[in-house]
Amino acid sequence: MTKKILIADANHARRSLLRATLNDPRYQIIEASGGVQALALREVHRPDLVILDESMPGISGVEVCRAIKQGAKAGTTPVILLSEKEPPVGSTGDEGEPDVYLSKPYSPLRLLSAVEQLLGPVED
Amino acid sequence: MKDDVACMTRVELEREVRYWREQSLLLANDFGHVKAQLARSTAELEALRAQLITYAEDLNREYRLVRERTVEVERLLVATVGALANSIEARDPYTRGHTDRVSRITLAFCARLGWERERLSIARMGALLHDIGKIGVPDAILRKPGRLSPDEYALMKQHPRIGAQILQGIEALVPAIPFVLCHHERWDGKGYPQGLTGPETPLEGRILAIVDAFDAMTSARVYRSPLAMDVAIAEITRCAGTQFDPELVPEFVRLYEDGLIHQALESETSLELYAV
Repeated sequence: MTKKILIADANHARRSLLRATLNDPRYQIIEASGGVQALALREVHRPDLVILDESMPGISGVEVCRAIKQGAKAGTTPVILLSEKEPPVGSTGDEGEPDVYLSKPYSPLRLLSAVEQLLGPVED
Repeated sequence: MKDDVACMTRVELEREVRYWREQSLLLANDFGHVKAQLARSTAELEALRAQLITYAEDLNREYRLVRERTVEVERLLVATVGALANSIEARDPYTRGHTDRVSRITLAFCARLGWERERLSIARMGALLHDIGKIGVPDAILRKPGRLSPDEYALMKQHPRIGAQILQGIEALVPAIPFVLCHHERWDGKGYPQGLTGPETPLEGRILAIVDAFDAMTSARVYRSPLAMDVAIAEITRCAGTQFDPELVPEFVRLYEDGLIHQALESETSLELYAV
């Protein structure tokens, strides 16, 4: 069964890059260009993983992440945050925090291994 | 608006000045926006550039890792396949060194025919394993010094089929099957196991038939001493169109004349196809 991944980034070029990086028949990619759209699409598609860019105008990635983590309605959706700064030390795992911080420019290999780790074993 | 300033009244002049002042303020404002936009775009481009460099670095690291692993896998496969091939030779004292020589000459021949790296790798596997089916032939037949009886010969002729069946179970070696299955076919259709005629026999089989016969002739047998390479080449030329593919034979002769068969047999190490 395919896993759904929601990617949210305001920049079209960066979304394309993310989509190309995650290209895999096992994954279905859903794109959002902002925080509001990300939250709306999450309600509709119920993704298995959300990848957020921190620097979205309006509702930022951090705020989307907090909304996902604190709204227990949809269960615990794992979140990867692509962050401008180095991740705050020892804060992961707290309420409202993403499961994985990747500071930009992120390593695509680290992104892929984080995705695989968070999604768990996916059958072909 | 009048073009001639000298003709303007004071009121008109004041209106003119107000108009231009407002206009330049608007322009300055626009310019500020454009400048800020440019700065944002520049920052965005810089971030994308940094991101792309990270991709390139990752790609480079992975590429080198894959290349190293490929060399390792190739080495492992050649060693394993070689050990398997040697286990056959250990039972058949008359063909000592045969598979090694056949694989070296086949590799040189296929390289001469312009084969790519991956195809060459398969050719080497096929050549190393071409007699693997002899594992299913009893010792009494394999080591019999005299002529084989018709029944014994019929059993002996099963070895290409047995070999192909063995390789069928190993995915990485499936592409090498045509070498194993078809190296005893003849151009005139009198070969075995399928009796294929002319180009019905896959190219792999037609290539290996020549190389196998060449090495058999130039090796010692209990009933005769080895033939000189010149004599073997002449015999192969004579059999072009009957036993061997008439278009491949001249290529093989040229390979010999250019000294590449000697070179292949004398080189100390086997070729590492994936080493860079």
